[in-house]
Amino acid sequence: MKKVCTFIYCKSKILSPETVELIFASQAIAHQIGATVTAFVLGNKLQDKLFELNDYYLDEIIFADHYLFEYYHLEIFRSQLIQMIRCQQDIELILFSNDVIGKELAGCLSIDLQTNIIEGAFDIQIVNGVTTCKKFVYSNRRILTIACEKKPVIFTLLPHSVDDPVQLKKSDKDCLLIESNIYVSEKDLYSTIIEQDISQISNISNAPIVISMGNGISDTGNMGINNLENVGLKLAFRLSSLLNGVVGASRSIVDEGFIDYEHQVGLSGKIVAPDLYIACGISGSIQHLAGMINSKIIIAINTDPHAPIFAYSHYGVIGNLFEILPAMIKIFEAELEIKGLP
Amino acid sequence: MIQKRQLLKSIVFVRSINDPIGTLNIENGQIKDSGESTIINPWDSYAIEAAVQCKEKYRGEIIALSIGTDHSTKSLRRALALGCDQAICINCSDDYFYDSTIAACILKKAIELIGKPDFIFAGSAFSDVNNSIIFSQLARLLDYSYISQVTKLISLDSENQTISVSRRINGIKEIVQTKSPIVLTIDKEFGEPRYPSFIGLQKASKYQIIEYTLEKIDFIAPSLGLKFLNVEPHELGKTHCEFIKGNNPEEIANNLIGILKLRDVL
Repeated sequence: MKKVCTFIYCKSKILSPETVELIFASQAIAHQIGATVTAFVLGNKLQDKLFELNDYYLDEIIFADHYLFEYYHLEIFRSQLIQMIRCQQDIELILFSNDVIGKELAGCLSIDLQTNIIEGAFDIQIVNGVTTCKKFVYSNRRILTIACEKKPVIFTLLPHSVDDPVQLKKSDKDCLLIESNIYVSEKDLYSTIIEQDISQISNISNAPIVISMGNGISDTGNMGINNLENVGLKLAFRLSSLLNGVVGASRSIVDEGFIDYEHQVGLSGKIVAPDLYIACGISGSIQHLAGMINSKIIIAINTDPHAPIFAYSHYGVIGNLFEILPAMIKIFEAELEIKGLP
Repeated sequence: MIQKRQLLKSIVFVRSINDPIGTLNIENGQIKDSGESTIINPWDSYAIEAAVQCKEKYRGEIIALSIGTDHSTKSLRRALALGCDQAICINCSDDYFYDSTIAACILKKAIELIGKPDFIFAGSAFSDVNNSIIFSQLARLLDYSYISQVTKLISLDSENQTISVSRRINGIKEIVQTKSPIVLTIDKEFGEPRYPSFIGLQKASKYQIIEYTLEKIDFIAPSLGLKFLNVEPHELGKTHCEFIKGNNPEEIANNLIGILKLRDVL
């Protein structure tokens, strides 16, 4: 039986949206050719997570549960994974996430397996034994259709490219749980994580609400004494904390040092697709649009009625963000007071 | 901190990328890029900056390596002006970058001919071919360590061949130590890259760039090439924008929030 495989690194307590997307994508591809879905899972103390994965109707989970997999180290993850893959037959393709870990592993494995790899793939199909997919090139201005005949093909999946799954049917068989041998040991480990700072901002690529700020915040008179004092950014952070969202940014204000690169939305930053995207003072360059166009609802607030962003937004406000945002904040604050929350 | 050993040798990879206004065609399943209008890959500046910082701190030499035809000399001269000591160009079409496995094989062959370095620096992505995995493939081919998205070089111990860097991995900042030789891709967070000095630019303009051909590096294309079927423009979907109006900001905010609540996003 042919297999569609995916790699899952269980780190956090709950499955990340990327992981869920990987599983859905694998299932959609497997469905086309009547294949089964196998997940390779690495991590430490996996019990609970395997239980959770069970709800996703995978056909087979091959897992390696070991303290060495608590933190990501390329060298041991690669050695373990390549052995796990080599034990399997008839693998059609292997899907990885398009993040740092997924890309590092996928690249190395493509050399080990001497096979094709396509980064940022979407719309993956298998027709007559030939795997085709699409990917963006030329700063997202062109779509390339690529075919690969070699098996197994490796893909890193473009984030937010899978539609919500149609109703999954529970397969007749239960999910097969197979514990893999551990092929690595302490002596294979040559990198050490000296320090890890997990008190970071919430990951903007997964947030349900993103409030993005653009050049509009560098309006004179509202600049503040330094970047931390910037009135526009302060408003954005206040609104995002009220809505449980995160703050995004256009490239120009990141380049000017107003805000950290981690907040940048766009081609050279993060690709986001939240339920609600509020673009404040962003004109809407093609690079920025490419990073947020898949958001479910886009609101643009801009003083310039001709700003390109309006053509790609669902709702528009022609007005000054320094007036509109405080008004919005006031309403939400009043609502919270009624609820009796701080 | 650094012990005396032979000089550190670094290679920094630079490449001119195609401007998205250029044309892209497919012939017989292969990409044919017009390559008319090329720009310096913005990510490469960070790689050059990292290599130069490393040289300033620990001495050694930097070789700038590029692939492509005439236009790639632009990035090489910039690298020279910023402090690289040598510049080598692999003279072949850089359409190979659409299939990163092949491009990685070419780079591996060239690097073997140059002599294996302690460090390979590269930018973290190429926006025209939309590729950032090529350097993980190269690291695997050379059997080097690999760290991507480096935000800072922290320390280097050439005696024990270890290097510590900070990097951001899926949103988490970490400091990691590993052994060299190593391939590093440098992230935008590394900091503002410097500008070339006037003297640097002058020196660079006179420099004779060394050229390698595919025969010279003894490259034979691997048999696992990708087939390119189609290229089409990607039009972003325009939407109908409903403008929210009101007599004052409070009214507009109220109307906007009302609509969002109706649509169940708040």
